[in-house]
Amino acid sequence: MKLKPTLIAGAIGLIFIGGLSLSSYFEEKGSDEEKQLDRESEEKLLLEDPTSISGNSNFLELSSTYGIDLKTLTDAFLLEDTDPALFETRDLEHYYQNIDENIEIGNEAVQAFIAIHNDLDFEFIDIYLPKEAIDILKSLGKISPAEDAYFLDHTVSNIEVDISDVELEVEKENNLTGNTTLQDLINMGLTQESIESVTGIAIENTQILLRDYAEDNDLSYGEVKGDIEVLLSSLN
Amino acid sequence: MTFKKLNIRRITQIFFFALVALLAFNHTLSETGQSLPWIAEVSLHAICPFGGIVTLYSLATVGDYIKKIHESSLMILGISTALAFLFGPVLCGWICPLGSIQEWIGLLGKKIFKRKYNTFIPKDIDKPLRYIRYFTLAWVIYVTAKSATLVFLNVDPYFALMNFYSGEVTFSAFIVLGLTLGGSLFVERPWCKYACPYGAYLGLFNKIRIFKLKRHDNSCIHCTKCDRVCPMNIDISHTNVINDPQCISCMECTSDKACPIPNTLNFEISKGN
Repeated sequence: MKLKPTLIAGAIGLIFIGGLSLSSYFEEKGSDEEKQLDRESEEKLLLEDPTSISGNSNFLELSSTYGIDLKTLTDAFLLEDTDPALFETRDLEHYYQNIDENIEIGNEAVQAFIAIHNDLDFEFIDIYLPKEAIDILKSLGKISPAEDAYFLDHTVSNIEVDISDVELEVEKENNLTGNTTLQDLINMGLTQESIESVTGIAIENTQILLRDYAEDNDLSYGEVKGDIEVLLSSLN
Repeated sequence: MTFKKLNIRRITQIFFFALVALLAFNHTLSETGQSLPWIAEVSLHAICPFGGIVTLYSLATVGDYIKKIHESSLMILGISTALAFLFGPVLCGWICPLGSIQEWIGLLGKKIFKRKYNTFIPKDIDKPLRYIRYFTLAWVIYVTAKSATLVFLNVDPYFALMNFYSGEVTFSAFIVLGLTLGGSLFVERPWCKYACPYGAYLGLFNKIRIFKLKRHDNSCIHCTKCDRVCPMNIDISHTNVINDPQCISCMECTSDKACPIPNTLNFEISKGN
């Protein structure tokens, strides 16, 4: 078989373009597989290591990921009247009203609950759980004697809850978030006087968070936020 | 010009020269925040097959590429090796921009010196000089493996040619480029013949390539036109199967170009000598 120059040129083009295209295809495939492996590794890590649960995990996700009945979770953390798909673990800190300021029940408490429930390794340092959570774990036979002994001094009873102080996920899509400062509100079009008229408290520093402004002056953040939202909507 | 008279190889050379120049230019532009639309922002290192060779040691030992070398270099190394296995060093004769520009400057040399062109170096000096490129190949691979850096970049005329405006080219590389381009006025493809490490590697495939350059002695009239047009000064008229490592598979000697007798000098699948 004889080769003509045209055939050589064609072969060069075909092999080059074909080779580079294949290379791009396999690079992309490899990249997708790498991402898939990363996701699988991440999921595996999550399942084996409850400390990898982040504060923006909601209770519906946790129920699904760890195979824990959703009602078990919501009952344990007194979330019966909330939407578990919107309630994130970090929201617990603002949800519980009458807990001693030296005690924190938040994301780590949820990590601990899941660790005990699913028999995963966990280091219990300054971890407190609601009494309801401990009772549920005992009723399910999940708590070990050592854990039971630990939680004798680390259980909080008679917790009061207030959903209005919690900024649920869907609300974060609105302009007002937990990071909104008084200056942000002024930038949105409100005046310092209008904010003061709603809260009745003089503003000395516009750089503080709205949440801190409310809580520092013994006001309900939820109520102040609601009033501010009314003011903002009147601007539109 | 009819389709038959179209110089397909010249067109292919111009295409790849323009492509590589454009890619190199666009990469330099992209570093200033501007780049041409629709053109990839790849560095010259990413499209240089020789980068694939020098990084093999590093890849084999520590599992990582030499700095500045990319996976694409290995891909292009693979493609050019596959082409060499089939047809010999077609990358040299059809694609390499440095080879092409030497050839084009050689056209000027041919116009100036006519038949004397490409005959200035006596054969007894030319022959041993042809082995220098193997030492270059071995040296580059060794020093790159030892230092894990692209040492060759300091003298690489290909990089100098495509990046002369970028400020990244060393003085020594400019000297080598100058000697290469200036030398092309007197000798055809001086870099390819005497110094190119990648040509040294690809040329080895001429011993085993699937499609061989074959001269049919029974129809050959020994006019030696093939010898005269060969850019690499190979003694074609006295060889039946041209497997010289210097052959760049340009096909200038074949019956499709210089050889006046049809089917006498062909690129074909050969079952033996």
